[in-house]
Amino acid sequence: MNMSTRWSFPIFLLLVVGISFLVVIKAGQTSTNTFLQIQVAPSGASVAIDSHDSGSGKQEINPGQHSVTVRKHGFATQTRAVTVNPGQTVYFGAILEPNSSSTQNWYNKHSSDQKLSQTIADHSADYQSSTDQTATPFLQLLPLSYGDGMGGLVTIAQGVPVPGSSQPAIYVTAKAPSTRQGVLEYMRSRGYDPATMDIVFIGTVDPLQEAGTEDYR
Amino acid sequence: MDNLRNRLIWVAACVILGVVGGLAVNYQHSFRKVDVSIDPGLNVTIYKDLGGDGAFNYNPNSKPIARLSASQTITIRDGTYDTVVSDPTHEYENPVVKFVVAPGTDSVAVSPSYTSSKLATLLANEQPAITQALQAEYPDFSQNYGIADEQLYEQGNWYGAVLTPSAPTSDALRVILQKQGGSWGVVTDPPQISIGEPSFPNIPTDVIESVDQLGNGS
Repeated sequence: MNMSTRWSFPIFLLLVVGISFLVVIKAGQTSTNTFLQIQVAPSGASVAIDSHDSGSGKQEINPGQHSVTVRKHGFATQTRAVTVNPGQTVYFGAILEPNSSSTQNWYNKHSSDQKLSQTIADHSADYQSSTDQTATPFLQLLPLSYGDGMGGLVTIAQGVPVPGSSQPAIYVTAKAPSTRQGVLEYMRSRGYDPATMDIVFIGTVDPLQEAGTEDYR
Repeated sequence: MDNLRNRLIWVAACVILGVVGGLAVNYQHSFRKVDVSIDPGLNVTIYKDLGGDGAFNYNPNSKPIARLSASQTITIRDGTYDTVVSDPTHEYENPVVKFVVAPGTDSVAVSPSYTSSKLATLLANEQPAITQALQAEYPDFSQNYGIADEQLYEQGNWYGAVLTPSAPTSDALRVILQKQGGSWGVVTDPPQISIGEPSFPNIPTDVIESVDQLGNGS
């Protein structure tokens, strides 16, 4: 019996132990069913989630807040916080800006990366819009305008988020306090909870604030 | 023939060894360290939730997972647990708090709310300090507004009210204050016609939604 024949069976047994072990470990891993769908431009940029290299594409992660860093030599590094709820798939798109002479006009010179960056920009806009409408379904009804019954006009429209918020705010123009309360009643009567939205009432005067302060929620 | 049988026995033994080893590692990895934060003064007992419908389901005669009288880190397996707050004087609205430990869980908070009658009693004691805080923040407050509907929340550390204007040209406003370090401070500064959850992530959503309903007849 030569050496290779002598050791082949023990090595085979070790492989059996190892494979059985790994199969059980893999079967025992519970999926978090929570994902980050990552797309970055230019191609070849490295991606790290919470300082661990991950790559782009669909990445399974634990629910919660994560820090995602995208970097490539010759481009400005981007680091953004992203919060993913259990069972959710969140889109993360990043387009790095060139920051060296060697990468100047990169996207104009590299048509595939230009196409990729355009895809990411479009997808990010669509994703943001759909996320906003999921979080605040009332946005789907906007813009709205109607007469207040006193010769004035009530307008309700979507606008930029207020400080401290990442969701679009709802901007309301209505002349009288009763009309403004009427807008809230209208929302409630349609099944929307005003407390779940940032609502900015334009043109109101707050006696508790210093003179000259006009806009507040 | 015997040789083949022996080899098969060896292979089976190695499969069993691998499976047992894998199960042992999986079992070990199903434990995680979780910071359990408990409001001061509470005594809590943690039981394994037995599943099924309903807010909680535990066997009070079973051996508890842990008994805690202060915030601490415990090592606990993935799963659902019921935290029972010692409540001999019936001060808490929900003396059993359910929580889930899963991959990624590193902290849980046990912070049951007082009953509405307990909160009403506390409000009577807190009213002067709250009015003083509003007055300090808004010197013209008492000239322009009165407090119409007000309520304390959770452990009496959150306060919400509707401020009604003395002038018909002004809006009724809603305000939320929080008690921290023994003193009250306005969190929704300035008071607002409608308080939005997205711009106040540090205020419990239950509190915002309840304050939004104050004075609406519900």
